Amino acid sequence: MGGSARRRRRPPLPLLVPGVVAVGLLALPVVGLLVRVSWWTLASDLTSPVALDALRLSLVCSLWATGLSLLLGLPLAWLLARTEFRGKSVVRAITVLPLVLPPVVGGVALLLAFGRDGILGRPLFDWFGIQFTFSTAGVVLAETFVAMPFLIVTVEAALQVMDARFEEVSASLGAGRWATFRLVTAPMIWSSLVAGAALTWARALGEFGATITFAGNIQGRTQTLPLAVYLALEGDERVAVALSLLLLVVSLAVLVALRGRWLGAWRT
Amino acid sequence: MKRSVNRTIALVAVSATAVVAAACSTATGAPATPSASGPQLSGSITVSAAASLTGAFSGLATTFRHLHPTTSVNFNFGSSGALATQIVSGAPVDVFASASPLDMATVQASHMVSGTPVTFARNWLEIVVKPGDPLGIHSLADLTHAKVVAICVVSAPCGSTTQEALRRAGVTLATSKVSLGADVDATLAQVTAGDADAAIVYVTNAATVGAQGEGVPIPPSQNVATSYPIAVLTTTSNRSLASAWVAYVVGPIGQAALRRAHFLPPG
Repeated sequence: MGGSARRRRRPPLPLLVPGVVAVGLLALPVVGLLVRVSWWTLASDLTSPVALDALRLSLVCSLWATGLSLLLGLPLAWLLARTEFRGKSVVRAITVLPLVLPPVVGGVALLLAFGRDGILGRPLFDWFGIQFTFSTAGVVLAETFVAMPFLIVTVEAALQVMDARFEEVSASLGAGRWATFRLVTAPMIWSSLVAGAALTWARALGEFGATITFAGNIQGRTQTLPLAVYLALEGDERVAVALSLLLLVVSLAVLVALRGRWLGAWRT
Repeated sequence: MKRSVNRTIALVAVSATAVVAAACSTATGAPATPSASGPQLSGSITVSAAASLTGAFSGLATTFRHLHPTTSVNFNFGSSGALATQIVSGAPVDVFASASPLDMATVQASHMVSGTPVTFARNWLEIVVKPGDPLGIHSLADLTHAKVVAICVVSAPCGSTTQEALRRAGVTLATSKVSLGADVDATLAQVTAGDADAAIVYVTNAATVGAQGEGVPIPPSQNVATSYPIAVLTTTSNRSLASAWVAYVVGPIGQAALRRAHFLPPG
């Protein structure tokens, strides 16, 4: 397939050894998980009421978080890439902060903002009776907080790389902003948009720290798959391993779906 | 109560075989002052202790260090169930202090307990509510009015005792309003730091909430006490220090500190 066969050099040993160790470090935990899976009880472990509730909740919440991220993150990504405004670097820093912030800190911060005593949470609760903490909406909020940056960063980068003259030409030909975005911009950044959304979804699906801190751990309401794994580990390791396998498979599926982007041409 | 069936039998090298006999007698022989127990102690040990012991043990470690300046006692606090799993899977731990005999039995079943565990304290349950008790919760039965009640996961000792107390009180809490904590500290934090309306925790935790909550006692007829056993593990690499720590906890200074933290006497 790859026509011009590059000269195969023997890899230098000082790089090969740490490289192999790195692969082992990353692969071994996955192998450990696979070895411990109790295959013959897998079906029953995954269909227990707790597991099914967690699975349903995880899917619902992560899809909501992805949708919210698209709804709010996409416009922000466009603003960051296409406009100049004061304090842009501050906005960008705020945007990527959740990427590096420990999720549990994110949970505490969410609590102080949207909790019953939080700066926005208190008026929401006092005036409208809206409470995010210990609710499914709180899970969506926590997942959006940690996952939306993935979408913004990916899409903004794609917009930066894209040649803005296409948009200018479109505008000069009389297309409105929305038509330009729909007919020119969106198709050109489509693969990045899909990749960003998939990353966002995967991150939301795996969210643990912010969720358990902010939304608690209520079966069927806030107990998502990672929370169920954590609690199952305390009591029933077999179920924890089964649920972990499920999350692993989903993560791998995301990776395979995006293989063109990260894994080169998926050559062996 | 479902416990992991096929927990791995530890891969731990049980190297310290000969020393077994000497150690346990110090552990059970409580009254002797630990400082009098002879030769210099040195080095460090790791004590895996139930989350509910965090305050009491941390304080005791400070005074223990005054007595034995060249030693250090490190802690690994968590739910007793999780700690037992860690020990059985080979975690390098010297002493295990559990919030329930059941988790100690798990470790014993793997032949990792040196001698016989000693019960050094007991604990009761108590309800903790938001400051001012806005929902007017005065009993376990009132918890049905709460929107969110935090309780321990059933695999933690505080969880199994909570289930038993609720059963005795004839109270059923809907799954949709129960937020599970992995251990008693995580459970309490959902009220003191989070927005849960109430939590069922130990009396000793309720005593620490200060202005962040209020304790609501559970009557003895509904309450369930749990006993705390402590033991040196066969895998210890510093048997003399491990035994000295156990003796210190079981002895007068340890007991006084535990009483101050509102633990009940072991008897």
